[in-house]
Amino acid sequence: MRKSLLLLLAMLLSISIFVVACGGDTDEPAESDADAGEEGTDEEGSDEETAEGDVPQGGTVTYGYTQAFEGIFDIAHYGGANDGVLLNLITEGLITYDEELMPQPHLADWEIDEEGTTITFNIQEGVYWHNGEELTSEDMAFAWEVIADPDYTGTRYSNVNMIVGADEYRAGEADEIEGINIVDDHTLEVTVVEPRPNTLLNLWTNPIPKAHYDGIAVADLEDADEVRRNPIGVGPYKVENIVPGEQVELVANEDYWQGAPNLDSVVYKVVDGAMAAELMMQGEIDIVQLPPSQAIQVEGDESVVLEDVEALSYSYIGFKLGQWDGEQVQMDNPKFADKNVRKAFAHAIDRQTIIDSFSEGYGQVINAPESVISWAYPDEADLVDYNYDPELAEQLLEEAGYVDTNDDGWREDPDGEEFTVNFMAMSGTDIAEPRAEFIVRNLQEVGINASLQDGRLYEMNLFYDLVEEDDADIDLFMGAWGLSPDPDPTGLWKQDDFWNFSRWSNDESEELIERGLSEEAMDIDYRTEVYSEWHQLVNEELPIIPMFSPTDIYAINSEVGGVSPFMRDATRDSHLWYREQ
Amino acid sequence: MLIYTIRRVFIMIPILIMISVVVFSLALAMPGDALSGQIDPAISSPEYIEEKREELGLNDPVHVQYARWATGILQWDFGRSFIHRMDVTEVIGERLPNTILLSVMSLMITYVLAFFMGRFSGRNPYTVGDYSIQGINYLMLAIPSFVAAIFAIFIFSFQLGWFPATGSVGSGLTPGTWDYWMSKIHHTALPALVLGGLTTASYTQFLRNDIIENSQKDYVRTARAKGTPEGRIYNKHILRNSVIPIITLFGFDIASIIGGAVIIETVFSFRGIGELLISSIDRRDYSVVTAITLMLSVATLVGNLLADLIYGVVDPRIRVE
Repeated sequence: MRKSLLLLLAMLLSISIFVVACGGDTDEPAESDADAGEEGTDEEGSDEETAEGDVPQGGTVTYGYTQAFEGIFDIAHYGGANDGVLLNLITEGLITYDEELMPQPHLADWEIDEEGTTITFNIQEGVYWHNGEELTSEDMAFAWEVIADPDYTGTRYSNVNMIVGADEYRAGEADEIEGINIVDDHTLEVTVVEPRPNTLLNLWTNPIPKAHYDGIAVADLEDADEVRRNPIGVGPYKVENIVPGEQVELVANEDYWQGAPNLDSVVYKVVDGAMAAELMMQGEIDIVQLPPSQAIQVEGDESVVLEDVEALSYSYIGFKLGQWDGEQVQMDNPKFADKNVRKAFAHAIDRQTIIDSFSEGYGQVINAPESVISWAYPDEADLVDYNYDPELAEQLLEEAGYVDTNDDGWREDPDGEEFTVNFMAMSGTDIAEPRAEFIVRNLQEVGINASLQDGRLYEMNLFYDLVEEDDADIDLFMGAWGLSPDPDPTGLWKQDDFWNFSRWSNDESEELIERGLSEEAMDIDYRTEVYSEWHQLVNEELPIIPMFSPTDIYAINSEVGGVSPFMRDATRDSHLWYREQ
Repeated sequence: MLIYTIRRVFIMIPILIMISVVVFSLALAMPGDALSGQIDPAISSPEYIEEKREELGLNDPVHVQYARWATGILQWDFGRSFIHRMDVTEVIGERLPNTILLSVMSLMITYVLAFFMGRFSGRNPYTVGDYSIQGINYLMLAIPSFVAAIFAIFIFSFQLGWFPATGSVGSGLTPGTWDYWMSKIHHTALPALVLGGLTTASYTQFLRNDIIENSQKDYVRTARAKGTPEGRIYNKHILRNSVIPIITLFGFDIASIIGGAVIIETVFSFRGIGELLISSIDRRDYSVVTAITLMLSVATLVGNLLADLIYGVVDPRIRVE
């Protein structure tokens, strides 16, 4: 018996070791989820020219990914980017995004009527699923019906609930969704509850194969072999073989609507994140996203080309300004109520050096909580630049009444009480700890008695547990958000948003966010203006210190061309990929 | 013997219950759950997460959750993986063949290495050869497996290019064909070598000491007196007696066959049970974590039982009525 208990103990011990060790593989959650960007533009332009001429045909490209996929290969059901990358290779949506994240016609073009509530999609003819069926309006309508189904197991209902009658359908009160009108095989009308400037961006526009899923109950779809072992799409590559959690072999879809791909096949392969750079240099994989610490390893290697694109995410340091009362935000914490104190903190932190020394220079300092690639990222000239200026920081603190009254080397608050600041940061990457310590030191240099909360970093789950419940010890916390292409701040910034973690509430901000979604905002110039104003307000009030917009780095084998990383991965226009023989 | 076996099996029941309580409460004590990784406005909302938590019963009191989980397990229902969106049994079933292949290969490597090294040391005790074998053995025992794995990958995969560094099978192969199995074995070889090579020490020492002990025995002296050649004495008479106790050690290896090597699998991105356990812990996929830990506990218990029973068969003195 003693032996078995010992073994069990040893086992539990090794588990606990690994809980710690494995933190090293995961990034902050939002960051890992949002990758991507834009700089591939000029590269891609030249590729397209060559694609029209003669680029080498045939060959295989291996796309590496550092997290095992789940294998839920249905676009309406998948969860993480690990499945999403593969789905982007095998299927496509009605719309796509341009460099500034504005929607562009792809498999369909659209018209929005005068009232802004009815959208008519004209789906291209001659687009075929991998099983030979033509893509029709039925497939798009089917996707909406599946997502609005009461038995639907995925997470996309918020992309369908704006359709008239979707709520009734989901509640089981209606047999069909009232707002969907299939005009003919290639024309589809959808009516939404109210006109919104971002309807098209929020609406689900990825069709799923109705005939392929015929006879499968909605509740069983995510388990069905048609999804897990034999998925189909309309994209440039067809699934040939799936090794669960390891790799997916794809072959070219000769009937692809934009013309047959240059390659014969693509392998989507899961690799260990720590070895990605080395595997790249060995030629075992051809495309992979690298963290900056590994990117510098391959810099200068002739067989690898690096492409960097701004990510669709940003990281920030939040001030805890209040708490969540169950319904909405209560901004009642006096500690950072003075915005000049918040500004002093911002000036005290050397953000550029953080990027240079901990991210090898990959990233961009931001002054607004938005990804720099978005069309809604304001003009920097309109914003206050919180550049590194410790003297200004000290001056602001002094003016606000924070001076060292008892000669202990730290500033006291205006009432003469000790002013201590807890900084909470997530563990996860190898740079997390030195970076957090650097920030603490920055604050200490201007006389703020700052320290890491409990002298350590927090594992991601625990971090968000404590941030969500507004743990009383938290003063400052460093987090990150992944973003969707639409810049609407709802969800993170309003008074009734649970994820408004800094618990900031401001009436002007509420009004601007609502104006950004009003009917007038259908005019993109007006909407841009509103968001610019909102960003100026946030920039002035500074409930969070925007830190930087990270840069995603893709390593691409120099024999492989036509690869254009964008948004969250490097799968855009994958039919143009080619390999020099 | 039968009564002894039955008694042992019955003792296992309260132990299993205790283990299940420990496993379940430890899993629950981890901060966060499968949904806390989904804090991302681009894909979900707080309302959705709350709704899902309610649906999955994560807001119920602990004892209610435990009762539901335990009842399920008694009916062979280990729940559903939230991350993989599959039944847990299916998720584990997918990984088990890889792990068993790895473990069997590494055990074979361990046995073969231990057999030859132990035999040599036993025949030539207290010589330079014996000491160097012992030195190597303890050195390997002392090297942490992940360090050895990283060095092995660096040397054999990156420098020499003999073995692939990650994965459990190559691409472009049809399952079931000869090439497919060769590719599988090729991918498994390096992790198996690291895993097997590091654990030879105990077996080698066991065999060595037993051979030395046996060579002092009366029957050996008799054989020598009869003029039996030295090689024959060692290979036939002594070895046969010394190998038997080692076979009984096999019982303890059962757990490791199923559990594989958590660390090695993770380093090699080898899709087995160990790697699944780690990634599930990381992503708070409770149902998978609890199922694997429970499975390993049961395997350990059964392995112990088997070892004890085989002892009884081999050595009648241990047979307790």
